Amino acid sequence: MAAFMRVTTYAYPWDLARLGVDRVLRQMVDEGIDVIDLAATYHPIDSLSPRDGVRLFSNGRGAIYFPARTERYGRIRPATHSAELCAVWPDVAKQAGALGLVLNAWTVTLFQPWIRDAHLDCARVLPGGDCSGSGVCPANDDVRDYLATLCADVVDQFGVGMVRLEGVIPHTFDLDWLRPRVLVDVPVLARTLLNLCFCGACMRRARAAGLDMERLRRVVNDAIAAEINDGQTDASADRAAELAADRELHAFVTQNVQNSIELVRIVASRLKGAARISTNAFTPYSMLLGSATEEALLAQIVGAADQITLHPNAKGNPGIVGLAARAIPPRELSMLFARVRVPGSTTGPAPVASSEQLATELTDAAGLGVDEVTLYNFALLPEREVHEFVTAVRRASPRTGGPMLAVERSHLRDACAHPKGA
Amino acid sequence: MPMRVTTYAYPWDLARLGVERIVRQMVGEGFDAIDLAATYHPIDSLSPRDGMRLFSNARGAVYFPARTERYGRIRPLTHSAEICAVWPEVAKHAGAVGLELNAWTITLFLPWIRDAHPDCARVLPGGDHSGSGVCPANADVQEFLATLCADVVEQFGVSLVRLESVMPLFDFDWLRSRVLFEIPPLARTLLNLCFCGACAARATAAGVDVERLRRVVNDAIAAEICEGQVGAGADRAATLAANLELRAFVTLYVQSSIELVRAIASGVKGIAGTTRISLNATTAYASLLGPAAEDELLAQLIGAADQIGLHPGNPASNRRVAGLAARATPRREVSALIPRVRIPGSAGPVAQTPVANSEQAAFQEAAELGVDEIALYNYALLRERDVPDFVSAVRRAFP
Repeated sequence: MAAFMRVTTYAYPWDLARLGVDRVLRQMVDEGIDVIDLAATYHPIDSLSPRDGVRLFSNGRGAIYFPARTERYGRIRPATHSAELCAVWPDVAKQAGALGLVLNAWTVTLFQPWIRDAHLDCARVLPGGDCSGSGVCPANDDVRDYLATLCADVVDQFGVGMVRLEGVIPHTFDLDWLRPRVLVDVPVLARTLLNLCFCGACMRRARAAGLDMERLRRVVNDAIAAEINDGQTDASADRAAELAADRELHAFVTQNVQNSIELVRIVASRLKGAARISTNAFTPYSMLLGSATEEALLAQIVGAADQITLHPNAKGNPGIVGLAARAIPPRELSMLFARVRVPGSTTGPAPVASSEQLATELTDAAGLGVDEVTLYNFALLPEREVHEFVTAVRRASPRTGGPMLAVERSHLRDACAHPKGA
Repeated sequence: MPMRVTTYAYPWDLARLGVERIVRQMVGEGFDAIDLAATYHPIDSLSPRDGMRLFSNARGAVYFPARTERYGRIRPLTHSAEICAVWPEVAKHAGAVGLELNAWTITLFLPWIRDAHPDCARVLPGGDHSGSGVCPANADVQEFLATLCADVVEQFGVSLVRLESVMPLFDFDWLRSRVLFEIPPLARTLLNLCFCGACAARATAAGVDVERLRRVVNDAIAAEICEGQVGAGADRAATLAANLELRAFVTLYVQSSIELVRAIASGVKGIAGTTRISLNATTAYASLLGPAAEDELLAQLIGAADQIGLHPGNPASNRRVAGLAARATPRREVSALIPRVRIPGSAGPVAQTPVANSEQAAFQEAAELGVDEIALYNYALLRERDVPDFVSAVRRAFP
C-alpha cells in the first residue's frame, strides 16, 4: 500500500481576509487538508479568485503580509501591506491551532521588487550590466540578513511548522518579467549565462576568490552575443565545452549557486530548529558545471533544508529523491500541484489537468516516496476542484481509519517540529 | 502606391545605441517612418544590439519632455532626462533625413496614473480596482491624454499619433497573473465592463439602475464560471442581450473610448491639421450588443481616427475592422503590425512562432485586407540582420 501523504494548500492572506479566516480554515479541515501554507511575503501579482464573486487582487511590487516587527530589521525594512491584510496572520495562527491545522509560512525570497526599488544595490545584475527589474541577489549581505530576520520574525510570532522558501536557488534571469518583450531566440547556453549575476556582492566575492572578473565578464558577454547572433548551432556545443573548461567561470558559477545555499543555511541558523525549512533543489547551470559538481551542489542544497519540493514529471526528480534519501537524516519530499493554470494574461483555453493525468501524477508521487502533496491554490480554485483534488490524493494514498483524527494531527505537528531521523 | 513601412522603437534603445546612428540605419534600410514611444506601460525588454541589454520599468512612464505646466490633475510622470532627450534628437535627425516621426502612445495601460489617482482606475464588476488600467470615461484621464498628445505634436511636429488600446480588456497584460479556472467567453465579455465612479455616474445620468445592473452582471459571471463552457452560456447571453439597461451600459462604455479619441483628435488637429490619428479597434461586445449595433459603434470609433491599426492573431476581427475602414467616408487607412518573432511569457522553453511562416501569413492577410502600411515591432529588439530581412520580405510581397 502507498504511504500516507499529507495534504497542504497554498493560500493568500487577501483571500482569507475577504472570505473569513474561520470559514476558510474550517473548510480546509473538512476537506481533509492537513496544513495551510499561508503567504508571509509575496511578489507582484494579479490573482483572480472565483469564490464569492470573481475577485481581483493586484499588487505591483510585492509586499510582506504579516505584521513584521520593523524594529528587528536592519537596512532593509519590510514593506508591509495594509493592517487589514496583515491581521490575517495572527487570526490564522490562533484558529488553525484550535482546529489542528498546521501553519506554514510560504515565503517568496528573492523575487521582491520592492527591495530592488528601495535598495538598487541589492538587485541582481545581468552580465551586460543592467539591474534586474524584480530580483535581488542572495549574495548580498543585507538581503541575507533581511530574509533571516523575516523568517525568524514570522516563526517567533506565529509558531509556524515550516518556512517554505520559494525561489531561493538562482532565480532565472527572466523569471516572471513584467510584460516581457524578447523578440530574439535565446539559445540554451545564452540563457544559462544570462542567469549569472554580476552585482557588487557577487563581484566582490569572486574577486576575493582570485577571479579576474573583467576577463570573465567579457568571456560571458562574448559567448552570449555569439549565441544570439548564430542561434543554436553545432558551434554551441563546442562553445559550451570551452566555457565548461574555463576554471574561472566554473568557480564563478559554483559561487553563484553557493550564495543561495549560504542563504538557506543562514535562515536555518537563525531559526535554530524552531521551524523546518523547505526549498526546491535545482541549478540552471548543468552545462557549465558538469554532472559531478552539480550533484555535489544539489546535495548541499538538499542538506541545507529539511524538506525538498518536487514538481510532477520533472526530469530531475529521481536524482533529487536519491539525494534526499541519502542525506543524514533523510530529507522529506513534497510535491507541488498546480491543478489548473491559465498561463499569460488573456484568452485561450485553460490547460486543465485531466483527472486521469492527476491520478497518474499522484501515483508517481507516492512511488517516489513523497511525504506531502501541496495544492496551489485554495481560494483561486472553485470549491469543487479542491474537493476533487483531495479525493484524488486519498485514492492514491489512502488514510486508514477515515478522516484525520485529533491524535493524528497532534502527531503531524510533532513530526513538523521533529523531522524524521532527527 | 508602394507599401509604407514603419518601425516601432523605444527611446531607451535609441539613447543607448545613438539617435543619429539608428535614424540613419532606418532610412538606409528603407523605412518611411519611426513610431517612437511617447508613453509606455510596464516592460522588461531585452535588446540584442551592442550586447544583451535589459530595460525594466515597473509602472510605466512618459518618455518625452512633457511640459508639466500644461496638464491638469494628472501630471505626466516622465522618465529620466537622459531618455526623454531622445525625442528632440529624433525629431531633429529624422526631419533632416526625411524619416517621418510618429508618436506611439500607450493610452490606458499606465499603472502610474492608477497609483497616483486610484479614482481613475478601471473597476471590475466585483468592485476591485484594476492594478494597471485607467478608464477612458474618466474626465481627468481624457484631459490628460488629450493634453499629452497635443504636447508631443506641438513640440516635435509628429506626423501620426498612434493610440494604443483605447478599448481596454479586463486582464490585459496582468503582472504575473494567477487565474486557475476557466473563464467562458461571456464571463470575459462581462468582466471587461468597468464600474468605476465615472462609468457609474454616466450610466446613472442615462437612467440606468447601476446597482441592479451590477448584480445582473455579477450573477451571470458567477454562473458562467460555475458551469463552465458546458453551461447555459447561449441562453444567458440572449437574456443579457435583451436587457436594455445592460445594452445602454455597454454602449456608454464603448462611447467613452470614442469620446476619448475625439478629444485627442480635436486637440491635435487644433495644433497641426495634417497630423493623423491612428488607433486599434477591438470587437469585444458582439455577444451583448449584436454584430450590427457593435459595428455601428466601431464605425464611430474608426470615424474618429484617420488610420486603423490591425494586430495579428484575430483574423475575423481584422476583417470586420478593415471592412468598416473601407466603407468609411473618406476611406480610412489601414496599418498592420507585424511582430517579427515573439516569445510569449517569460521563462521555460522558448516558444516561438516560426518567423517565415507567420510573416508570410501576415503579408497574405495584409494584402487581402488592402493594408496601406506595415509596422515592424520592434526595431532594436531584433538583431540588426533581421531588420533588412524584414524590409526585403515586405518589398517582395508588395513590389
